[in-house]
Amino acid sequence: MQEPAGHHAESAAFRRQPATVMRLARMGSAHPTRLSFLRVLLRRMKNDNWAFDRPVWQMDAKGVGRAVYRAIGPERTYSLVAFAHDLPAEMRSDRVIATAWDATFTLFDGTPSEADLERLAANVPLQEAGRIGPSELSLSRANRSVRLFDHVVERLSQGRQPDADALDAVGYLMRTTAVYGSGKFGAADRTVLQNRPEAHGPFQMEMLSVWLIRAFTVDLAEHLAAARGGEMAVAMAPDLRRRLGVGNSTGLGMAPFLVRHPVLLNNWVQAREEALARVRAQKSATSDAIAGFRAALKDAARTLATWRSPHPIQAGKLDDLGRDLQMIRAYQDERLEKGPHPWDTLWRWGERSLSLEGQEMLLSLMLEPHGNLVDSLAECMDADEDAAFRIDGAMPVDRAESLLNEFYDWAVSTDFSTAQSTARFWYVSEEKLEPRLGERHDEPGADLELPLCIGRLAAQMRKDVSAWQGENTLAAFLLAHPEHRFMARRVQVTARYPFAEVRDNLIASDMLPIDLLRCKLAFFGASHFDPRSDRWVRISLFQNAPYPQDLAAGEPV
Amino acid sequence: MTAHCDRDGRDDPDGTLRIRLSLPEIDALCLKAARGAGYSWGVAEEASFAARWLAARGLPGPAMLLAHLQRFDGKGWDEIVPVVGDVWSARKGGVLCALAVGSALSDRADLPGNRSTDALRIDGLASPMLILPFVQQNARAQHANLSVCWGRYEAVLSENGFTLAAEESLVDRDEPAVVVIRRVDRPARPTVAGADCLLENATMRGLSAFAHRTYVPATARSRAGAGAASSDND
Repeated sequence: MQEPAGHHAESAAFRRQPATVMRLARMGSAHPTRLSFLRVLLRRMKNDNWAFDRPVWQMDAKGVGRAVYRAIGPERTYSLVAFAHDLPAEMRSDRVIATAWDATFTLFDGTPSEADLERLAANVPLQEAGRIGPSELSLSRANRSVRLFDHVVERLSQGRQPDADALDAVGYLMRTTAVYGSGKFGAADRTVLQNRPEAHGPFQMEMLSVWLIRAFTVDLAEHLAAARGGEMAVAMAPDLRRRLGVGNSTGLGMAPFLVRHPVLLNNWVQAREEALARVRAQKSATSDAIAGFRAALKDAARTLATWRSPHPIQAGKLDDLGRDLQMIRAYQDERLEKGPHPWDTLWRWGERSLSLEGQEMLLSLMLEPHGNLVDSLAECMDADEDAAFRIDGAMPVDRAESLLNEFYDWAVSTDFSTAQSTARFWYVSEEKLEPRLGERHDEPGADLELPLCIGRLAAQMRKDVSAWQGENTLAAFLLAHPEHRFMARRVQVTARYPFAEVRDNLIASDMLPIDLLRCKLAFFGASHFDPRSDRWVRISLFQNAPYPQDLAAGEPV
Repeated sequence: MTAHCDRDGRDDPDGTLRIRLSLPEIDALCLKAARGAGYSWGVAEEASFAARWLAARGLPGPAMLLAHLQRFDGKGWDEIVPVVGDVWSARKGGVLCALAVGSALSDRADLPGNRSTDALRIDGLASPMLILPFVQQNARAQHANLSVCWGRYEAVLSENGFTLAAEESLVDRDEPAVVVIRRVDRPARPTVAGADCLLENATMRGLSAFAHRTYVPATARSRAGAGAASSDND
């Protein structure tokens, strides 16, 4: 993102610095905002009056069968093709290594014919072991939350509503364990979507898949309840249904993504930061904005009330967040409307007073009532990664050195000779071809390390550029030092895209992979982050969002 | 991906069955293969860029990359990298690596010496077609039309165009050749890049074998650390 749409010069003084924003602990405290990708999707579908239907529902009494959900836009139609399976409990695993699931899905480009459905039925249930084609835009699968699913089916079959507390305790009927998009397993490359306005913005087709999956999970539970209870059975009440999202279970596999896509990461973060700066730059707070802020604060308190995590790290952060929300409430009651630049005053107070979890929540709350000011920034969140690929070899070596000193000061000042600073290494496991994190000093394989140890690579390059005696061009340096070519590209990217780099040591002994996961998932729009270990997290998507029928009925997003 | 290829290949002793890969899949496979063949990560990125660029234009980029990796497997960078002068050649008269040459060309796109109208000669370059993607980067950077000639081939690269004149068979495409790059007036026809590519199973297997060298065998400890610390049956 070189220049955000409708660039506001007056916001420059209010921007946070990359050295503040791009730290793991803060990224690991991120919350969804109105720029999150699922919000962008819902706004677009509402504004463009999308229609929705379910032309296929072939499901037996055990809930085995297929369904098609269509999202019909102004120019094109997209169809979620769902296959529901009867999965024995012992086969239920959220790991990427699983081979069977409760349900499997693909997003089809258009309306699938019977022949398409037959082809997909032979491949989609196999997931990675199957093959999809250029008419497919995503591939995904989901497992039931067994206890909640059974509870809901049982209650509905008896003509009763499920217990609201039970719904809130889990938050979803099914959780996806992978949602593959562009180009994976034969699916269409994202260039196919390049000229489609409805696909602009990151992960829009994946978000559409998950949103339609959410509708499917409720329909499936109601179908099973009807099969079991016959005429006794009832549908789920809309207010209860709305509390359900789609769960997602994510492990280390997602963690390298942000490091591998520096320009994309920059564009996401820069859009969000520009949004915050624009709000802070407001000279006064309108009564509408204040009312919107108060409403968002109430929503945040409701989210917190249903956000459970037994993990000690997150449990502590939730305590902090609870305290922080109370402090924000007290502040806005007493002080929000007073003085010039009231939003900036609030923000500065928050930086002094709140935990990282609370500060990032405050960011989300401040954006919420300012859609007119910030929503257009969503258009800057795509990335042309190819344009940033070529290295400028004419750059003098001493210029590369000063860029390293400026943007990688956190790395060149790290002592990489200690066991703690190099404790981990990232690699791809032969067994499952998934990224994993090893202990360098206890496990074999560090010679096959993935280049995610950016800090150390920067420090190594800095050492060699300092010692370089040859011709003063990066071209000459890289001819002699091909081992620095990877880092040289990143240095030049970071010089142009200030938020491209996570400014922490990703191989340190105390690094938490869940921080990377949370940052990415918050940009998706996830809530209810619930770490299951330091490298595995469950979340919820679309909780409290409208369903297709609600959106068509004009409900707000 | 690998599993699928094996499944397809079961009744395929000649390795002639083909599999369609999307461009991101080609990118990922070629990156790992080049890294597995011993290139640094940064050069491996150039390798996958080149293979994908060619594949998107209907040329067998992945197969060319495989032949290239096999030829240079085990060779040191010093042996295969060009000495950059009036004529580019390998240090001891050996065969030049197209990835090293392509990277060096692309790095020099903005250097004044590279903008002259004089032709550049490169001696003993193996798999010359692999440098075309880099030459197009230069055409873009210099807003110029560049012709690349070797043997019975001529390619022209413009900012958004690419034409290749060759006899029908590309059978000698991997052989070392003297390559001449020069500026020309006429631009190449604009090209529309495709989104996927058919790979012969033998190519897929060969690249996968190189990629396999980048994987770390599992240990009990690595398996245990990868999942959630609690049951998924809840």
